[in-house]
Amino acid sequence: MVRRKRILFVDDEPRIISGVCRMMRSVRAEWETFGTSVSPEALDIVARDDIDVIVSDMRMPGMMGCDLLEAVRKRHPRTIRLALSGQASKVDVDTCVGLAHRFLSKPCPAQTLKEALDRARILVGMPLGDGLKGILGSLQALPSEPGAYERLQHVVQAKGPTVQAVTDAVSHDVGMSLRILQLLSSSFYAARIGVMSPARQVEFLGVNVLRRLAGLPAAFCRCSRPEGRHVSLARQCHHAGTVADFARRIAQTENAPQGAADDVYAAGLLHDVGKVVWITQLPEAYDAALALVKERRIDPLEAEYQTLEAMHTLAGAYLIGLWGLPDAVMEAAAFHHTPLDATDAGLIPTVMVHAADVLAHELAGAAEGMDPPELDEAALREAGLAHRVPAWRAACLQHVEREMEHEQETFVRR
Amino acid sequence: MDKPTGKESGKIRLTTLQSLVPEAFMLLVGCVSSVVVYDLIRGSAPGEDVISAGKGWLALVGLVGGVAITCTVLLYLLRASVSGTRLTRANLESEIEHQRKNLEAIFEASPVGLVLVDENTTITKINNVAAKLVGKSPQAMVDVQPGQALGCVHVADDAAGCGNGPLCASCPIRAGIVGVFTSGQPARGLEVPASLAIDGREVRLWLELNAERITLNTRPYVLVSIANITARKRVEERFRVLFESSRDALMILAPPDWRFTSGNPATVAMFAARDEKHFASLAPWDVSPNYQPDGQPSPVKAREMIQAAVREGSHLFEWTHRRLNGEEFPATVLLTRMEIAGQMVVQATVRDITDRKRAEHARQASLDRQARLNRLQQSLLSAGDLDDKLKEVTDAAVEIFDADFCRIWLTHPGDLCEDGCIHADVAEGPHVCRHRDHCLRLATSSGQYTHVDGEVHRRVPFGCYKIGRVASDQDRKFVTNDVTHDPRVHDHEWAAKLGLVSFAGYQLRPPDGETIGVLALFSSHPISQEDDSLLEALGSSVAQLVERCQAEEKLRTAHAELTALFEAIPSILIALRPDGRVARWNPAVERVVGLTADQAVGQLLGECPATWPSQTIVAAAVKCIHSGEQIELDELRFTNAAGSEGFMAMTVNPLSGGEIAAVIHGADITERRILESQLAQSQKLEAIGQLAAGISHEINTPTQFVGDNTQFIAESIEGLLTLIGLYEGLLGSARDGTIAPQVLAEARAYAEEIDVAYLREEIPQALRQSQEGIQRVTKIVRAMKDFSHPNVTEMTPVDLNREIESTATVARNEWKYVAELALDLDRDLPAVECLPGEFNQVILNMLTNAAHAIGKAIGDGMEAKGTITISTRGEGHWVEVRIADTGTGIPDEIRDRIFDPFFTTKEVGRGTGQGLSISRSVIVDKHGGTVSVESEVGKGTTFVIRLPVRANPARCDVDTPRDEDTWSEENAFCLSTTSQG
Repeated sequence: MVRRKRILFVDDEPRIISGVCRMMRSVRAEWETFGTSVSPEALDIVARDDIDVIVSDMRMPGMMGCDLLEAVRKRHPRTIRLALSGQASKVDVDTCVGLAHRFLSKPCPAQTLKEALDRARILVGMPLGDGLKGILGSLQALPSEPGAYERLQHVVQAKGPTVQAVTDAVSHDVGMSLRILQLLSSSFYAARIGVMSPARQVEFLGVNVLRRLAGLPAAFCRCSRPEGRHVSLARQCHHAGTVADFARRIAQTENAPQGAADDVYAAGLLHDVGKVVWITQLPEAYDAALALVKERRIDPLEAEYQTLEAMHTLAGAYLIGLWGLPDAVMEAAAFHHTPLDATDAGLIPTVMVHAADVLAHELAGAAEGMDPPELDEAALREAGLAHRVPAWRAACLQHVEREMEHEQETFVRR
Repeated sequence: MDKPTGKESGKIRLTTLQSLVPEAFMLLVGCVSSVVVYDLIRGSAPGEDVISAGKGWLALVGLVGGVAITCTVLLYLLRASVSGTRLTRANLESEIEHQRKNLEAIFEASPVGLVLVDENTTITKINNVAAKLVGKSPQAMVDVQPGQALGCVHVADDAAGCGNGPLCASCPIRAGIVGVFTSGQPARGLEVPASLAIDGREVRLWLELNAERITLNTRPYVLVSIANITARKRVEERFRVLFESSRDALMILAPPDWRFTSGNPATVAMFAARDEKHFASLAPWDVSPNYQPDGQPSPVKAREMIQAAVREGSHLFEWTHRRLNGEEFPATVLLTRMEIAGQMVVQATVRDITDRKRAEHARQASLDRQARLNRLQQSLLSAGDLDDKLKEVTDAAVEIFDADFCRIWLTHPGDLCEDGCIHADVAEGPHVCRHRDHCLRLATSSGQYTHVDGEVHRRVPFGCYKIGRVASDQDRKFVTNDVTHDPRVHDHEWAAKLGLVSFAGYQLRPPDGETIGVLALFSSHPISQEDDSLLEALGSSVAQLVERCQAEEKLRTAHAELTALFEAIPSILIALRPDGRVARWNPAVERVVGLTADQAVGQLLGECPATWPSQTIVAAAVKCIHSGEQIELDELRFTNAAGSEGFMAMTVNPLSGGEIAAVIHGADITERRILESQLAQSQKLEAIGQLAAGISHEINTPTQFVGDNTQFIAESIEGLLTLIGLYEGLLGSARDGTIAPQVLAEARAYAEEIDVAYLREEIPQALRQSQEGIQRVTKIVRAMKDFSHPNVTEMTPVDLNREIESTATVARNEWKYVAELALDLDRDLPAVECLPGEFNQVILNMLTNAAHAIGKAIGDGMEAKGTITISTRGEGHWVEVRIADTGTGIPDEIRDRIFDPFFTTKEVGRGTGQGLSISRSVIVDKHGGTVSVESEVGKGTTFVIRLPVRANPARCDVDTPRDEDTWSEENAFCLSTTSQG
């Protein structure tokens, strides 16, 4: 019999524990539920019972939730950490950002909690090594490209930063966007929104919240080693930005509603988030993988698998899933190389990100003389979009041209 | 007959004069000479002894003359008889005898010394007068050589005796007598010195001898008349020496054309004549320029001067002469009228006064300069711009000292290097600028260059070049008259090119002060010692000037700053004189009340048409001035310049002594009042927000588990209903009597699946807990309603226990993590008249503070919770509420301050510091109660609130001014200090 996933609820109110345990009874096939109203005991339970997911209240006598989660992060990095807070204030997010992977607030509808647990169950089941899950689980903030990080600091420290300025500073950075989308996906906001445009994200989160977060090293941080031998974080981020722009152009070409286009944009921006993890967390192994690609001309994913024992697609999807981002974004990250593996709901966004990725590589490859990856014709056909590729290519080229014109203008004006 | 010419009569030498006189006029000549000499003596060296000696001598000579005539007659007769005149012998002898007796009588009676000498130069006859000359008897002197008779010292010196010694051969007396014998020519006026031994003493005499050869009894004799002219000789000698050796030029002018007739060597030298003869050919105008300084032609003026001297006897005046070499010189001339040989002449004494004139001129120049400097210094004392005055100094120095340049550099404290200063880049050599915050800046320049912005001269580094060294040297000055060679001058070529000779630089240093600059000048002539000392004095005046001007500048700045400050102060400031008139009125007042300073200053404050309660303000000012106490006026209603109503707060502060008796300081507090009310509002909102957050947490928790439980119940019910369905099937089968085993197994399996035992146990619990949860929510919501009392704004009888319970419930989230709450409430507590909303606010404050104090005491929550105890007690007309905690306690040193507004010990952002202040205000001011605190550090704190059962809030009456407390023209000075009552 397959081991059931283990979940621990921590809350100083015992009725909460008994209530949630009763509620978990319906999923007892998948979940083995633990509970305690004495927070210091929670750590013992996690250690003793090999807990997969911990759901903790934040404000408790004896041991505060953030202290508990921090201890779990350090000692049991693989354990997925969820905050279930009774405090209604957004400010409380500050105290647990980087500590909890997701933030849920009381009263949390059973449906929301169950969805979160479904996601957690998928993550626990993902075929990634415990070591890698530990790295991803203890990651407080995904490091940003240095320039972008400093730009954000500069912008938020200015007098009266504008939404536009903050948006410009964060919208092309993978780490920052990941953080912002995590916050927006938390249950303070999740009830009201899906993914939205970067400007809307900033607007919604509030410039002041971002300003406060910018001062927290657990919220945003700067990559200390942005240059590998074979790849740089800057280039990776640039690629991510291009794919995001292309994906949005493609979605717009298909007359997707604004919300869907924004979804695709986010998915494009984050599709290679696993590579950012490689570059910033496991640079030697990733360099080795790229060296393999160059020396032996083997498939890049195969090379990653050899040196990192995982592919960036899955690692990225794990991180995206862990931080509670929408399924579409997670799927695009997981399947942008193999769009046919996507669920029906995630197929079209995944195909679009796949196409954007290929087109971006095509463009970069044209410049660098590398073989571009090929479009997955089967997936395109499955999505019914095979005939649209020339239109997409044209739209993307047009976008690039406009960008270049814009850059020239800016340059001339300076 | 030769008459003496004018020219000859000018001669002073009597011997020469006499030699020219013919024999027949000897007597006359002798008399004239006597008169001339007498006059000369009288004119040049008058003296009683000389005069008397002359008189005696005159008488003697007159007699000698008379005797000479007689003798001549006699000799004639003798000659006639000898040449054959027919006379009888007897007659003749008788006649001769008679004549001889007469002659002897005359000889003896002669007042002139007469000596008759024979061929051997032996004295044959000598009269008494001659003998008296040497104090001997005539008999003792007869028949000896004259030398022996007279006692010539040579006789004693020379054993050979008179007449035979070598000295006797050169004796002038002997030679004269012998000469008369041999030549037969008479000797006249032979003046000879003689050293005679008289009464054993050697006496040097001047003798005048006249010798005539006569024949007596056919034998030749020489008759010698002897006169002692020693006295005359002395006078003459003295005059001659005076005339000849006088440094004054002495000269004689004679009419009618008034030309010079003689001049002494000084005269010859003075006029650069070749010799006296050359000079004697000239007239005064020949040694004068054509015109005198007054414009008169010299010949005309000279004649006028001479006429004045002739008229007056003497005339002294200044004259400009011209030497024969053309050089002119100033002189004083003394003209004296005198007679020489009966001719009126004028003697001129000319003195060259060039040196005196030059000295006078120099002295005058020096005086002028001093006066000019004095005027300059006077001018420097007057008020004015420093730069202008410095310019005045340098301009004046150039003019007074005839300088080529004069400049003043000043040091400016804290004067940093300026951009592009050429001195800053000098890296080596003697002129490296070592004082980057201290250099000399050219303030003014006069003379050849007057600009002050030259690249090189604009600034001079301290200690470098002449100027910098003058500023830094111990010597405090540097003066050289050799700028082209002096090693301390760095640019010899430049100095030489401009023809400069001298440089003088002086430190400007006020007494007891630092060097503040340098005064320096360059000149193309040497700087004298006098210039130096004047310049030094000028330097010290300038130093004082600069110091004074800088002090004045500071004063002006300070005054300007003060005025600026007064005007910039955003508060209202009004200064009042003792008589109630406005002395100052700053712009803030203008802005607030719309009355300008011009309109207000000088007015009585009470009469200023301001839109504020003048009476109140004036009354306060009067009271303040009379009592010397500060008066505060709060919340004066006024209408501002824009016409809006507002509030103003004022304090009236007394000032003693001086023109200002009181200063009214005020501020428009309208904005503050608005802000205060807004702040109170926002504080309320913030408190409500915080409370709401806590309440929502309190509600969220039961909501969460009620939700979970209902979810569970819903799911369970579903299973149970399915099971019931199965059971109904079984029930039907049972009714039919046919229970299919598989249906039974199905039902049993399902019951097992849904764990009926579990459900049986859990569902009631879930329901119960849900009910509890709902009750909890209900209680909170009710407490919220109780707590806020939204519609109660008046004193209402209230059950304080219930209020406390509600508040504790509402605030549960504030304390539940740190403390247990114990309520010890007096169930017999009377209803208390109060404002329940405000009372609850106080309890909430105290409860929150207690929770914070315990939170601090138990640290990070690892220890046991503390306890908050709220108790109530009724005590007659009062009730007491105690809120005790087991927190940190309040340290003694801050216990007195905890009720002060804005006092807080909490970290920034945690508390506003208003809580206890507001609580006190509510209890004391609004309810007439008391708040006190008991606390022990480490043990805890208890706040004790006492409220009267019946409301009796404190009242604050506002003083209203009385009519007499106003200033007006009439009663401004007759207000008493007690008028305020």
